[in-house]
Amino acid sequence: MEDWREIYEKESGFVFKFIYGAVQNKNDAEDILQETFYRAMKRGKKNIKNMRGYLLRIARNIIYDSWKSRRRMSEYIKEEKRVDNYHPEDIETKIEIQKSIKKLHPDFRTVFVLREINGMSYEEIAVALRLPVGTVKSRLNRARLALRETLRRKVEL
Amino acid sequence: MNCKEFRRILSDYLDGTLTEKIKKEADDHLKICRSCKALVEDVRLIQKYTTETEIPMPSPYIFQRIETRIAAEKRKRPYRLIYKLSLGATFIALIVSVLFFGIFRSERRYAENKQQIYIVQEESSGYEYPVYNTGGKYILTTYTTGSL
Repeated sequence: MEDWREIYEKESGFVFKFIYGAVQNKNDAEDILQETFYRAMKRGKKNIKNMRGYLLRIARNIIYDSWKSRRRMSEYIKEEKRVDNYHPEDIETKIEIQKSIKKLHPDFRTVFVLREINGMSYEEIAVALRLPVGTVKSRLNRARLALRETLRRKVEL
Repeated sequence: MNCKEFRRILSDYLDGTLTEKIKKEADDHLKICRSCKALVEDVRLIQKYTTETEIPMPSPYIFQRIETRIAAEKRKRPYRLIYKLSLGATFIALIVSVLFFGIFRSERRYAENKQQIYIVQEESSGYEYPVYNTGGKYILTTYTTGSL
């Protein structure tokens, strides 16, 4: 358990950043973080060479499952509005971007968040998610184009 | 370079992973294409806002909660094991008793049949046939059948 405490202290910040970026809600992100480490600790760390990648993959799967069940149940995620120093129009744009990120397919959202929020390189994402670099690039491209399309449609409306 | 080709390399263009030659082609395309220029500006804005996302700190009690959950499961585990073992033992006992009963019955029937084999002589031909008893009905063991 002590080993896991060390791993938690080392990796939880990074993993939480990814989860929060993907779900945009603190309570949901904390629940997913807890579930991620719980599953990892239950399975043990035998043959795990890249712990960060392993945790990111577990978190991604949980996000994917919750996305599927929410889509089935047509539930809406509670919006979490924060007060900050931006101009009103900036806050609006920011909220629109957050909403659009949440609406992205988890495959695209995962790559987008790891790149833009966690600041990982294409190669690091590919290793962590066990994907070819080409797939990472194309998913990121599609995520960016989809986000821009969603925002443009909203502005036009 | 046309718009379709530019959209395909958009991420590489934004992340600066293009070769010099292709980057120049992309820049040349942006000089003449308003639509792709607007696309680049919009995606850069999205990047800016996303990068600036304030990430809150997770609760400091999360690890404690996980430890509590795992400890609670460990406490339940012995009972679960006993339950599983007793269920398995019952199942095995059931299979063994069914098999035993089946073998016992077929052995008994075989012994009964063995005891009740008769030699019957046919009057017309004088041939002798062995017959055995199955539940009160006499059957000839050869193709010829008939009652005694």
